[in-house]
Amino acid sequence: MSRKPKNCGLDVAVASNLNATIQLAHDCGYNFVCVPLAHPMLRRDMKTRDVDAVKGRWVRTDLVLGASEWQYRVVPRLSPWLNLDSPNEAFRKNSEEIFLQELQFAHHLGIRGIVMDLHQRHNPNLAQCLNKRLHTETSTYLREEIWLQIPTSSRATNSYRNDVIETDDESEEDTWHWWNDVRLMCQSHARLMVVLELTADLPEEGLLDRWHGEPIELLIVPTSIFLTNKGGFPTLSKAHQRFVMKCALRNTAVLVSGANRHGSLKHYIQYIRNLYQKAEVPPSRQHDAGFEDTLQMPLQPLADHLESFTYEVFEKDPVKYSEYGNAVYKALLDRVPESEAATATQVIMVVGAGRGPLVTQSILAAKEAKRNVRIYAVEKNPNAVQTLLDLKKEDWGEIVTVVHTDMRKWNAPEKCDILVSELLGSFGDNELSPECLDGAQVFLKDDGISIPSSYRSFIQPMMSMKYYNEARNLKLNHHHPTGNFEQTYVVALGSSYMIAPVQQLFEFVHPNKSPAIDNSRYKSLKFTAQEDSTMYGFTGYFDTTLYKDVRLSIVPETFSVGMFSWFPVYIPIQEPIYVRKGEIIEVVFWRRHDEKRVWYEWCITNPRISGIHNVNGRSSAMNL
Amino acid sequence: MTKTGWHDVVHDNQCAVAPPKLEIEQHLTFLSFSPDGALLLGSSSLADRIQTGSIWMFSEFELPLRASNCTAKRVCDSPVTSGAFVTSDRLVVAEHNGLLVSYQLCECDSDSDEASMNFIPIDFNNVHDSIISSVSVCCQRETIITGGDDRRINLLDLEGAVKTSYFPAHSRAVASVAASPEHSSVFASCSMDRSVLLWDTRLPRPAKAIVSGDCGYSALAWLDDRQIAVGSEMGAVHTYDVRTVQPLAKRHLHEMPIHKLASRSGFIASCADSSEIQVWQPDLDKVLSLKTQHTMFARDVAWHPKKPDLFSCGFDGAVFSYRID
Repeated sequence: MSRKPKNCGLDVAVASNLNATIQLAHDCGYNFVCVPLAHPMLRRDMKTRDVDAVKGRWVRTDLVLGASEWQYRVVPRLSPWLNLDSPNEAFRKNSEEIFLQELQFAHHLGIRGIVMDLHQRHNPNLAQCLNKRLHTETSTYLREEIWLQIPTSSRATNSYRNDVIETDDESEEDTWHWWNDVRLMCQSHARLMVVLELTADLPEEGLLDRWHGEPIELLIVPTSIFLTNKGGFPTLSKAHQRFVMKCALRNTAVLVSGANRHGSLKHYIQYIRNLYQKAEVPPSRQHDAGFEDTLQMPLQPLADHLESFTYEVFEKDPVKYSEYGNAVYKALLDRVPESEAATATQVIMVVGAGRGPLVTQSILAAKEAKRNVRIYAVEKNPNAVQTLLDLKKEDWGEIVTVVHTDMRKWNAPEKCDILVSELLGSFGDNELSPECLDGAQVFLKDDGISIPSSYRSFIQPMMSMKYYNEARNLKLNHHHPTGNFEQTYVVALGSSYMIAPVQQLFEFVHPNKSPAIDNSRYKSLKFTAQEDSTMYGFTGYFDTTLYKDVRLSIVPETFSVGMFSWFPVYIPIQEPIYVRKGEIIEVVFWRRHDEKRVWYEWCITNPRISGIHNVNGRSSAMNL
Repeated sequence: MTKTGWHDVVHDNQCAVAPPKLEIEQHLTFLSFSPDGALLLGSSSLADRIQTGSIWMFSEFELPLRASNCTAKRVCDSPVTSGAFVTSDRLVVAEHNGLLVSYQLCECDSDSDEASMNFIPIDFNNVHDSIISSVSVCCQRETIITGGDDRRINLLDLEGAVKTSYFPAHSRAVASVAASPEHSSVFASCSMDRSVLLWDTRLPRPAKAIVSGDCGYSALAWLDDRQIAVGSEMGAVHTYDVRTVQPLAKRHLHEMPIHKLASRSGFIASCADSSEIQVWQPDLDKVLSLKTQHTMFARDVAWHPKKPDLFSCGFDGAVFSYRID
């Protein structure tokens, strides 16, 4: 799967002739340019315009480009001299007016986003002005975004100073706060993005990785940070390469900035394209292409019948079914010693057989193990039963019995040795596997085996303003106003940063031999934040032990390589919570149920109390 | 002459003969005097479809300036940001794309043109990644100092080739650089990063702070080899003793950030992000508010080297003079 930047741009300090600049950028392999909207030297106030309209012109006419060129070929910058948080009141007011003037003109041009460079952490008045703009909908179809440029490390330097001691200290300002403060003041508005400027000195990797949880619209690579290789071509340091290759996983658009130091500007973008292609995708992300960062509703296979398309996608998983086959194979060998192989017949029940992949795997496993089996394929979806009946006639033959019923209500003619099911969701028990298997285990022999034999859910606190906004902005039919934050979403992880390592949440074991079966759960977990970050919720995963050492996992550390049946879940929280490095994040999760439904509730108890989410399953529940 | 610039945007014909241009453009960005009193004026058009720049020289002149009265003129490749005489017939001009062009003034061969002299480009160098905000010539006339929005400060030889480059010299755009009037190795720089630095290029770590304040600093002018005037974002002008790094005097001269300062014999002239021009005598703490007719931001102030006259130019396209006795 080859990766490439979504878009490649050239950052030009000034452009006398915009058409010529776009052409030059195009000739060097860049498909857009980033240029100042107004000439950076053209400082002005609103009075100027009133004195003399002709002399008061402040921007080149929109006629120099067609409307679509403005939209796709140009990313304008706000004037660099604006200081909306100036201590000088008159200048601050002037900056506010010009800020608005430029944003309005950018809107007029129909551009996608406008870049503003931040220089400091203290930006409350900028945030106030941004809010004013972001919450004024001047048009329903054109809504420009505001892209805040933040350097990866502070631009401050003391290396030439003889009156201060040069320190390679950790007290260096963490520029992530420049962004974090503004976006929190702007309620994590979806139209605020980051333009991340790579600096020559990079912060340590832990701090740098945090940017992957932020909505990075553009990655600025200044030509001044390139080294020169033996051939005279530009190259980046290993640390810079690593970071760029991580950005490649999201196909982040790139903006090359600064003067040409290596013969031609085209060498820079060629080099970066190469890095993107070389980027290695971690196993847990290899099948995400095209799905990254898109929130999906979890399936409810118990309540709804799956469709043919869904079955087909999941049946193609190369890992999951072969591991199930493995588990059945090992279980058969354990239950039937070699000496009884010819005489004994094992009864296998596949509950929730769908279109039959587990039946096929069980037959193959039995052949491999040289054991005799008799298989019941139990399925409640009448449409899938048609497929099962056909497969029995064409492929499986008499060893398979197809039963059309809900496994919880089935009156089985005999007890089985091995009960095989695939009822697990991305969060383990979230497709009601515990309830289904509790119902089905009555027809499992006392010494019988359940495949899977156990499964666990895992969570970890995460930062992703993007998921938070996706969840917030989805049009769903929740009765409760905060309903969008009271349900889980399935998502292929792209723009996310994990604040602390994964911890196990709930576990279920089958068969469940306890006298009073209780599938409700309560658990409190404590995480330690690895860096200052803003928590937007949790990522949920699961793993399962099918049989003995045969396991499946979507937890990144133990991921079953090649498997694509499950993406993780995003569990949002209503209000983002800022956490400091080393601070304890304490969270409580419940699994609750009544006669008809099962649901989760969750809340944060440290460092700040949140309300309990999804009280009584008011916004989301799995129907029994 | 062809040369590979830092920018691909630099045209190869940089030093070819430019087409004739008749009018001074509206956005006057700088003015500067030669030691013998010739005026160099930088003009640009910053809001046109194609942004252009030109430089003009007037040896003998009356206001208002007219293109037809110029001694020399030249159309530049792009808007001009700053310029300075190195000697009375050598000068450097900064263009907005980081290019520094050095010119020789020569007598015209033919008298068909109304201008009697030509700016002959000698060399050009891409010395900054961005706008060159400020150019200053050291007192011994052997080094040119440039500061840019790219946070870089360069020391250049008279041809414009980089001798030393300090990067990053400041954490935000360098607003101004100013060479000491007495010491060829000393200059000052200021920035919106809230610092004013004093540099001694003989030292391995050359810079120390004169000011580390709570607002940005946007303009500089030396009063003598000991005192420097600093203009701030607040609209105030401060004077400092550079040896003791002690503040001497302060005056709030403008409401808006100071843009340029020019000093001569006890007077400090200032312009800001407004149309006003102020002249301050720090020793007497006296302010002369000049009646200016600028209708838009004044962009530069300069003292005539031989007369008690102050000149200002602005974005309204006008040049005014003020007699200061």
